[in-house]
Amino acid sequence: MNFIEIGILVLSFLIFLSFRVPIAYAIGLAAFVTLIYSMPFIPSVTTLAQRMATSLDSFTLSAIPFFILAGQIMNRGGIAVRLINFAKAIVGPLPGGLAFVNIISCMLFGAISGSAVAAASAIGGFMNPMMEKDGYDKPFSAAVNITSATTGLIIPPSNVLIVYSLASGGVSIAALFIAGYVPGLLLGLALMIVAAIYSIIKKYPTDKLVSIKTFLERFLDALPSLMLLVVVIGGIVGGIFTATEASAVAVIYTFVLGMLYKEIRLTDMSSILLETIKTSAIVLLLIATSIAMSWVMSYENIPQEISSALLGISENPIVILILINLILLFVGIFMDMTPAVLIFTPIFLPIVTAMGMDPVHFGIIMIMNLCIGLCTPPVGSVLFVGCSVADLKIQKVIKPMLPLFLAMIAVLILITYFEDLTLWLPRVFDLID
Amino acid sequence: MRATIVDILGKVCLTVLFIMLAAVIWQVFSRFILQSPSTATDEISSFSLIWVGLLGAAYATGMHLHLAIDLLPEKMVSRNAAFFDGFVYLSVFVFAFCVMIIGGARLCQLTFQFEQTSASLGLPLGFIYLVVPVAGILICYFSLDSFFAKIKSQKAA
Repeated sequence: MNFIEIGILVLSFLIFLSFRVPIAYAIGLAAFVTLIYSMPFIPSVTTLAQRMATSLDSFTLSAIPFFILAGQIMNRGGIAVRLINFAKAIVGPLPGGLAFVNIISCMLFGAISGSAVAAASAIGGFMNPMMEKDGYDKPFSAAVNITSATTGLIIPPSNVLIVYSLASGGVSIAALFIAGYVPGLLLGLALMIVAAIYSIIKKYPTDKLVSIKTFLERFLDALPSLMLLVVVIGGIVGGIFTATEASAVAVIYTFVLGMLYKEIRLTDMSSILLETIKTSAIVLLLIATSIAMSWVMSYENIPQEISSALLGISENPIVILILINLILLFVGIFMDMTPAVLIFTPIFLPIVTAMGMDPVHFGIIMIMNLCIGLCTPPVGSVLFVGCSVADLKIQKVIKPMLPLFLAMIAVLILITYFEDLTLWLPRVFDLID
Repeated sequence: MRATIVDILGKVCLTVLFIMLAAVIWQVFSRFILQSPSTATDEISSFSLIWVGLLGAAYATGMHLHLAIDLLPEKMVSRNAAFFDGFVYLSVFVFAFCVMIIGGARLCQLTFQFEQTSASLGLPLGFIYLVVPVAGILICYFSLDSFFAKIKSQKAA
C-alpha cells in the first residue's frame, strides 16, 4: 500500500484547511503536493492545469450557473411569497402549522430552484419573522428552515445530482432527478413529524381553515411558479430538453414571471448576474480542483486500496453500506458537498455496483447523506445562510436541530435499505431497468 | 488599481455568462422553431463555462469570497491573524503560480504545438485554455496585493 502518498494527501489537505486556506485551493494544493512527490514538476503542473480546464469543458455542467441564476431571480421575483401563501392555505391549520408551511415552502422552492442555499434564504427570510410573531421560538424556526432547505437538493432539479452524474461517468440525469422525488418527500415528511411533536408540546397556535375561494385564489396565484416544475422536470424526463437546456429555459421563465409580477426590472439584471457569478465561480473552482484531486487519487491507485481495505473488513453488503454511510457522514461534516461528491463517487461507486446496487440509488443515498453535513459546522453552507437570515449564532440553532437530524438519519437508513423507495419512480417512467 | 481590475473582471464574466445563456437558448430555439439544430452552441457554452469558471474564480479571489473553514479554535487564529492570513495568501499564490501559470502556459504551448482544434467550431483549443494562465496571473496579483496590504497595515499598527 502506498501509505506515503495517502499520508501526504490527507495531511497536506488538513494542514491547508486548518490554516484557513479556502477549500477549493486547499484541495488543489493537496493534489499538487501529492503529485510532485511522485512525478517531475513540469508534467505534474501541466496535468493538473489540464484536468482543471477540461473538467469545466462540459455542456452538462453549464446547467449549474443557470440553475443558480434562476434561483437568484426567484429570490427577488415574488415567487417565494406566493409559494408560502399557497402552503399556508394547505397546512396552516394543522398542528405546527407555520413550521409545516416553512417545510413545504422549502420543498416547493427547492423543487423549482434546486438550490438549498437559495431556499434557506428566500423562505427563511419570510418565514422567520412570521413564525416569531406567532410565538415560535427563533432557533427552532431557523432549525426547521435549515434542515428542510436541504430537501431541495434531493427533490429535482438539483445541481448536485448533475455533479454526481458527471462523477459517476454519466448516470442518466433524468433518472436521478425523478428518483429524488420519493426520498425528498419522505425527508420533508420526517421533518414535519418532528416539527409537529415539538409544536404540540410547546402549544404553538394554528391557522384557521381557509375558505375554498381563498384556497383557489392562492393556488392560481402560485400556479405560474409551480408550472416551472412541469416545464423543467417534464421537459427533462420527457426527453424534450437536456438538463442544461431546461435550466436555460428556467432562467427565461423566471425572468418573465418576475417582470410580470413587477418585482424585477431589466436594470436589476446586472446585479443578479454578478451575484450568480460569485456563487457559481466558487462552485466551479471547487469542481475544477476536486476533479484534479480525483485524478491524482486514481493515479496513485487510492480508490482501489480504499475499496480493498473496506472489503477486507467485511464482505457483507449491509456492513459495507453502513461503513460507507458513516464515512460519508464524517466527510460531509468537513467537506462541502460538491468536492465530496466528485472525490468520493469514484471511490465508492465501483464497490457498491459490484455488490449489485444501482448507481441511481447510490447517488440519492450519497446526496442525502451529505445533506446532513450541510447543516453541521464547521462546513455547512446551508447552516451558515440559515443562521445569518435568522440573525442567530450557530450554537443557538444546534440544539433544536438535533431531533431534526435524527429524523434525517432515519430517512437515510430507510432509503439505503429499501431501494424500491428510490428506484420505483424511475422504473415507472422506464428510465432504468 | 485593484478595484478597477475586479470591476472589469466582473463585467467580463457577466458578458461571458450572458453569451453562454444566449447560446443555450438559441440551441433550444433552433431545434424547436427553426427545426435545424445548431451544433456550435454546445461548444460555445462549454468553452464559456471554462472562462466563467476560472475568471470567476479569480474574481471571487479578488473579492475574498472563497469559503474557508474554522477547524482551529477561533482565539488561536485571531491572536495570530497576521500569520494565518499571510500563510493563506502565500498558499493561494503558490497554487496559482505553479499550477495555473506554469502548468497552464505549458498546457497552452502543447495544445498550440499539436494544433488541437475543437470538433465543431474548429477553434484552436490553445486559445480556450489560455484562460488558465490568465486567471492564474490575476489570482497571483490579488494574493500578493492582499499579502503586502496586510504587512503594511501590520506595520502601521
